Amino acid sequence: MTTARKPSYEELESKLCEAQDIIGALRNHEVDAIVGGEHIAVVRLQEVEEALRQAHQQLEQRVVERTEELARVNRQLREIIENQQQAQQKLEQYTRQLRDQAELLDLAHDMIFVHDMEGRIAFWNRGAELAYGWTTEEALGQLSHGLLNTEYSEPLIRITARIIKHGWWEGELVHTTRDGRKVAVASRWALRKHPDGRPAAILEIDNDITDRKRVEQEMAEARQFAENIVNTIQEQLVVLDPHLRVISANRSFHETFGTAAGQVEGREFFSLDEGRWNTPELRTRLDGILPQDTSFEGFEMECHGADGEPKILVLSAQPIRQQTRGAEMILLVIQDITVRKWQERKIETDKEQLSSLTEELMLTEERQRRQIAQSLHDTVGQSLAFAKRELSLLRRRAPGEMDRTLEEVCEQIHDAIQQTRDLTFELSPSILYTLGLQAAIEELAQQFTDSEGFVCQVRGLEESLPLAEQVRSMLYRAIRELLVNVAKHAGARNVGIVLDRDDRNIRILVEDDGKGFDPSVLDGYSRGSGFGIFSVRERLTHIGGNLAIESTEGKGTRITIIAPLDLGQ
Amino acid sequence: MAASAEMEQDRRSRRSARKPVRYDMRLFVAGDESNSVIAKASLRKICEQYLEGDCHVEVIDVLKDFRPALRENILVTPALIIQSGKGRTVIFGNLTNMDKILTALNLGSEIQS
Repeated sequence: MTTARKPSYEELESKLCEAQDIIGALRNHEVDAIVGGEHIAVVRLQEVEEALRQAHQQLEQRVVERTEELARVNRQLREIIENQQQAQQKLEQYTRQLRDQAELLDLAHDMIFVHDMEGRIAFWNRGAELAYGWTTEEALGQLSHGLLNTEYSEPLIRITARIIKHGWWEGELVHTTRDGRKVAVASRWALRKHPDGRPAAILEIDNDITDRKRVEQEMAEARQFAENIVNTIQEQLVVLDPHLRVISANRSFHETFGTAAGQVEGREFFSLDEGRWNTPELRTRLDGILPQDTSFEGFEMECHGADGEPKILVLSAQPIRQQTRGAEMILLVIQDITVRKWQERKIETDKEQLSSLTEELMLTEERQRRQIAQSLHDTVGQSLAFAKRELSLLRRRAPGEMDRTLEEVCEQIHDAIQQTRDLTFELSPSILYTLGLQAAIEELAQQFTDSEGFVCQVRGLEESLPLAEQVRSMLYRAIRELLVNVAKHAGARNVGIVLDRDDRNIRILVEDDGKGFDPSVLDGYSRGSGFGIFSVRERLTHIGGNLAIESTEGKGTRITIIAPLDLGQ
Repeated sequence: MAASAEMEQDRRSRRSARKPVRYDMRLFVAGDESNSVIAKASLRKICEQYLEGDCHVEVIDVLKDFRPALRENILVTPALIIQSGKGRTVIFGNLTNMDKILTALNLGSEIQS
């Protein structure tokens, strides 16, 4: 076995020189062939060069391809870089927008916060800080419903199921603030999802509606108050929509027509009560309310109530317009006037009976007056006249010392006779029945002219008036009463009485030039003040006549009396 | 193997039989390739011009037999092995660099002088 000899330095140097010589020859292209190992054939350098040239070409081709590939990759890289730069710019812009939006969220008065699906708060805006009392640092990471002690309008599990299914939820919640106040909020929830669709977080926007709820409560109470009032109103109230369908009706309506709340709402008004309201006239009136902006009242119609009894109803209707809501409705007021009508008819009947009784009373009174006057004339008057005649005869035969006494007695009897005549005339002036009203008034005028210091003139009719007895008497007494008033209060110098008539009435005008008065002062007087002017008016009214006063202070008084000629009318 | 040993013995006996010379040179060429042709011409010119026949030249075509080249550890052609009293020198290339050859033949100083 032989071991490899270690080459000497000279040998190594010689081999190095050879190697350098080989390299030099190769570099100078002085080599023709390369001799390989025993199993390798000699390689011609031309072949080597050809192979090298082809390799070089392939290499160049490869280089070109590689260069193009590199250029393409370079372009792609540049595009990627540009895309990355654009994405970076967009990201920065998006970040700025997010920051701006976050700042905007802080500006909002609404309470806005975000919590994950477990309820842990991830965002908490300025509005939430102010409203609920916790800072952002304190709120983040807390369970929202635990922090706010939330009272839900429906179970939280249902809300969660809904928001997962639909992506949103809204309703009313009650939160409790840090200082223990209850805050009612209108809450809107929106779901944010992961890119793969899984629920990520919930955005909750709360709007404080505590004041609104309070106002709503007050409005509800006010509405209840108003409804209570409406329900106490005896009239039947129905509110109709523009299509004449019932919106609401009050308790009185239901009681009158035998319906109940909830039965009539939404139904057409004319279909109610077996269609008995459906008259062409009422339909025409109601149809015109809203289009023509009109109303009507006092429309009377008869129907049968729930008890089958006939009823008389008065209908009034007017439009109701709510400016804020733009709603148009019709308020229909139905008033049952059956009883009132019955009472009115009874009053009318009573009035007629009263009038008849008044006439009878007046007639009786007048007859009694006449009877008393007649009796006074026939008995007392006659006796006094006889006594006066006998006393005059006695006076002629009596001694002289009795003459003075007898004369005084005769004067007293004469006064008694005169007083009896006056009393008789006052009770029932006979001229009224013998010569008529005008003659009696003329005599009365003469009496007042003689005794009261004013000139009273009468202008009248040429014909006699066909007056009923009681009317004639009443008119005479009325004129007498007016002349007494003139004498007492007017201070007149002239009084004129004018009688006139038409086919149905007699008209008597009494006019003076006295100091006059304000007719309104009569308002303070009443029928109990005496016979007076009220009694005159009242009696005239009973027989279908009238009395009118025109007066101005300082300009005299003018009173007109009108009475029917024939009481049968 | 035995044949090869005989050939080597024969070659040595013939070398020892010829007239002693100053330079024993063996030129390895590759057929008539261009550098090989130049190398043969250059060597001939050197022998004639500078050695005056005091040399023995053997031209070996590796395309015909490459084994002598492997034995002499010749890797490229043309290559010239100069065996002289000062030892063995190998020159690679087409032998156009005359200075290098003369230096290898230790004749540089003689030529210049």
